[in-house]
Amino acid sequence: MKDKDTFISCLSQKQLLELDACTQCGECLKRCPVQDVTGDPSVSPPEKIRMFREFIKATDGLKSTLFGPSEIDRKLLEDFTKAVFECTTCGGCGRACPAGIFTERLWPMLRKEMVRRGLGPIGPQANTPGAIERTGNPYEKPTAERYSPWFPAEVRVAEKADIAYYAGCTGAYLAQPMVRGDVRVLSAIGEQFTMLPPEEEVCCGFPLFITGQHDMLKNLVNRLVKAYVDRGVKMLLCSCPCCVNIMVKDWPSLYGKPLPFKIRHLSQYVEDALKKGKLHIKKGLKERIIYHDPCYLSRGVGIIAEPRFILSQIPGIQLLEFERHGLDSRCCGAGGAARKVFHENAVAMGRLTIDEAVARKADKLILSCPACYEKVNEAMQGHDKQIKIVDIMELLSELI
Amino acid sequence: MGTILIIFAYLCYAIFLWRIVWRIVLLLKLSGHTEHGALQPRKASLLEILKTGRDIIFFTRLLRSNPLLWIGEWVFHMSFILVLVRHLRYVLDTAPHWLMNLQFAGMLAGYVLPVALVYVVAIKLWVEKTRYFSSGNFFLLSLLFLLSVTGLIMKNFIHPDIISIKNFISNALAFRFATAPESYLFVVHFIAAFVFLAYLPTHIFAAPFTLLEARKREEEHGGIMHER
Repeated sequence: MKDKDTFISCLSQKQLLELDACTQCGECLKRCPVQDVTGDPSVSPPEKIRMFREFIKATDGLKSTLFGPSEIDRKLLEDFTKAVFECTTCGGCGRACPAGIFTERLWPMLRKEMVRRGLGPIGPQANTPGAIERTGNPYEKPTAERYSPWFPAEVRVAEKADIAYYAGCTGAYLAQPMVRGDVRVLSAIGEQFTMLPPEEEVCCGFPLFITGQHDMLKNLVNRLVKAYVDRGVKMLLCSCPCCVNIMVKDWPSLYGKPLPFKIRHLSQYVEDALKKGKLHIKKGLKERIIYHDPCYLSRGVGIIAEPRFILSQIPGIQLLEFERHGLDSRCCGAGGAARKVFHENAVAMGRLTIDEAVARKADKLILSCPACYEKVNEAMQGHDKQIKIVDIMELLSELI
Repeated sequence: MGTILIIFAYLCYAIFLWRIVWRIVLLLKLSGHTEHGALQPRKASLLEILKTGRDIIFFTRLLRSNPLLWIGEWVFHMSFILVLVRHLRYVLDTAPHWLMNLQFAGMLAGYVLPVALVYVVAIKLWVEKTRYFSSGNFFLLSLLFLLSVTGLIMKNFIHPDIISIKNFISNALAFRFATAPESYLFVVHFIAAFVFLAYLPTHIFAAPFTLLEARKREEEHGGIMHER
């Protein structure tokens, strides 16, 4: 792919307007976790947009129309690629944008363009398609170990059921206390649920989507949807915000029509079970806990009240809030597959979350995302401030 | 001098038009591209359009994220519009009644405009100590400051001949070459105004669309996982 090729082929009209709508005001920098830890405006959202506009001008502008596209400096392209892949795609910038730019969706599309040009993804992100091809998961972990290390012996899974549970790769391999808690809570609710066998529960496609590597997406989605349809599923439950995000927002277009089942975040199902009396919290907890909203759960799909309702039902608990919470939550550093490459940034972001939780004198930091769970736990290693990190369903499973 | 100024003005106007046409051409090139994930793009409801109108007029998204900057930006934009409207009397053959009624407000806005500009820069540089100030924005703010200061000097201290200015503008609009008014301040003001036109930030055309989409998205957000 020559660098003279057009830069707009991965964009929609709406996204082209968004690039134009950026006023370069810099409000987004105040919500950017990369800025929080690097302080480097050259990798900031408005600079990325400015650079991309220059690329468009070089290949599709008046001069290029009259005299042919000009060659773009390779170093500039590489700098842009690094900047766009350093982003955690948390969407905080879009939330703060006075022009309403939907950056949560714009950055992945700019990444896709850089992948198309052979400049992205960066480092280990490039191994993701191959890993998924070989093992069904982006971490290249053995398929046979997807459930076995953590699945509780007492929990029964039906062959076919109206309800299905999708564990997700990050939960199954990197945040096992979380998914163990999920199935224990599901089991306690008492309704039959099914799960795909480990070799069929492949990646949801999110790591590919977010790193701009879209080639395998349709195939993965079709395989998963068919497998759930074959099991008679009417509602698919999942606790991973990234998986839920792509399922609800992109699976329908990748599948080509509306999904034949509903997608629900596990916290929605558990909230409903608590309200209907299907689930009872038997033990109390006299602790101050603080809940971190995962970006893709709050800003992404609007699940904000449900986890708080669940936590509020625990007798004796005092629920604290971060300064930035709900739709304004701050990224923990795990997002956008950037943690795989910009590890130091991710750890520093995770430590900001830990520091605030400790400063608010919380006894426990409650998470509800496997990527957050893995990264914040990692960020605490060697850190001077320590706090007990627990997943919401892990906590609940110990109290029912 | 008059001929040079008129050619310059038309050149700036041509640049402005080209920038708009180029954007429309690019948008048309993407007419078949749908946004990833958008299965059925929907039309905005009347309520969403009305709310977007409010977002555009009152900069509600900026108000939400930065009230301190918002007041400066809003006052600056509103006073700029008033000043611009006030200037119509130099362009129109006969100024309509409503335009004459707006003259006083436009004149006051002329004093507020540079104050608002200084306020915006002060908030960014000294209060928020922002790390990011785009050179493009700095250039535009400086240009606007130059425009407002030269305008105020002409209003209050060094009065140019209004009749000759109106004659010059009328000729310029009809692309007839005419003698420039004998005022260097006017020449500077005129050049700055057309440089501003050539560099007019295109977000003023794109942002209403992105704000409408943002409004639609925010209205839909609660229903992504909570549909009935």
